Amino acid sequence: MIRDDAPARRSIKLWDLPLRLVHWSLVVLLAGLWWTWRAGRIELHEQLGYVTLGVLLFRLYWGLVGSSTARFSHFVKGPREIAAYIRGGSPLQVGHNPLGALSVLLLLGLMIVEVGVGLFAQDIDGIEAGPLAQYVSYDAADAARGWHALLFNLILAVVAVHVLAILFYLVVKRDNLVGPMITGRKRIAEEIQPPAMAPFTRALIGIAISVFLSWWVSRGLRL
Amino acid sequence: MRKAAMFLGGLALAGAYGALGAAPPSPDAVQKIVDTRVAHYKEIGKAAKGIHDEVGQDQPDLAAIQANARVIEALARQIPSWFPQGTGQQPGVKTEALPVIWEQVPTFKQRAAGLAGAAHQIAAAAASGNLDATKAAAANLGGACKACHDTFREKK
Repeated sequence: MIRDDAPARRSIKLWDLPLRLVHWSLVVLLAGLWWTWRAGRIELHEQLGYVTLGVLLFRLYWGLVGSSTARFSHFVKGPREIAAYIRGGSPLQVGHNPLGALSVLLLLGLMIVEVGVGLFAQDIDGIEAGPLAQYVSYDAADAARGWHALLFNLILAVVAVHVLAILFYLVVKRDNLVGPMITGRKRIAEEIQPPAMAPFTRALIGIAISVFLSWWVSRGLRL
Repeated sequence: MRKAAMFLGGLALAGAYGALGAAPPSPDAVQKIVDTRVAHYKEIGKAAKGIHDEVGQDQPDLAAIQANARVIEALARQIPSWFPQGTGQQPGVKTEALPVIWEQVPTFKQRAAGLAGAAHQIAAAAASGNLDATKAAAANLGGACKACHDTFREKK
């Protein structure tokens, strides 16, 4: 599809800075959350969890009002379009393709549930507990701990599929997806309408909202 | 008092040995003892959560804290009796109780007494109506749990 003799390949801005920061901070946070849990650094684990909550909240906000390639309305497609994409019959994709959108939704959804469950989880002694554990019973908080551990493994499995898919695009389809996720830019031969980028002030508003909500949750929903 | 509890625990196990006391207790019998003590620890956990939840409130209910602390204190004094000889890890028995419990019985009892003492201080502070002292005492509860678990419970 992409030929070396393709005429005049243009570089377009594909992913904006907030989206890329969300992506790579989640990579780092996932590793940090795993390590702090393994090392028994539960306080640090909780703090990283609040950061993760803020990042995820911002991603939801950005999915509604961010740059076009970040918006759910832009990349979330129905089964017919996903099937068409798999058969190779869909037009050029700018941003997440219909199949990759499933991976985005699944990962985001799982991480949101994981952080949410973690807020209610407690250790078996009833001492170290998420800030919302106070609103549920001991048994519920105990169950949340089990789900929190199980869901993490599920996230790891989906991350593995995500990485394998990126390798598949790189090796088989000769399409490097990692580069644009770092630089934000991609060279494209086709004449297309470049994605519309949201102004940075709008990102700042989202950051303020996310930080406040995450802080409020970390205080057990008390101001 | 504590010796008596130890003795009773031993008796319970001896009962499990059967009338003639010849065969060691079956894994099922040991598992029952393990399950009972796990249930007791969950009661401690519930009471600890009760204290922890109250302390986090704007206006903690000192009476509730005191009641929960008394529950923990009473249960903590029983802890040594929940661990009769032969109820550690073995084929057919699922338990996180490490063998070191029976190798360092005095230390184990001391840690259990530490929990009872920590709970006692919370109850006393709550009874006196001093909120700050109650909070300070409650902050030591987690450490008392951890002091024992770090040494005597299997890490997952």
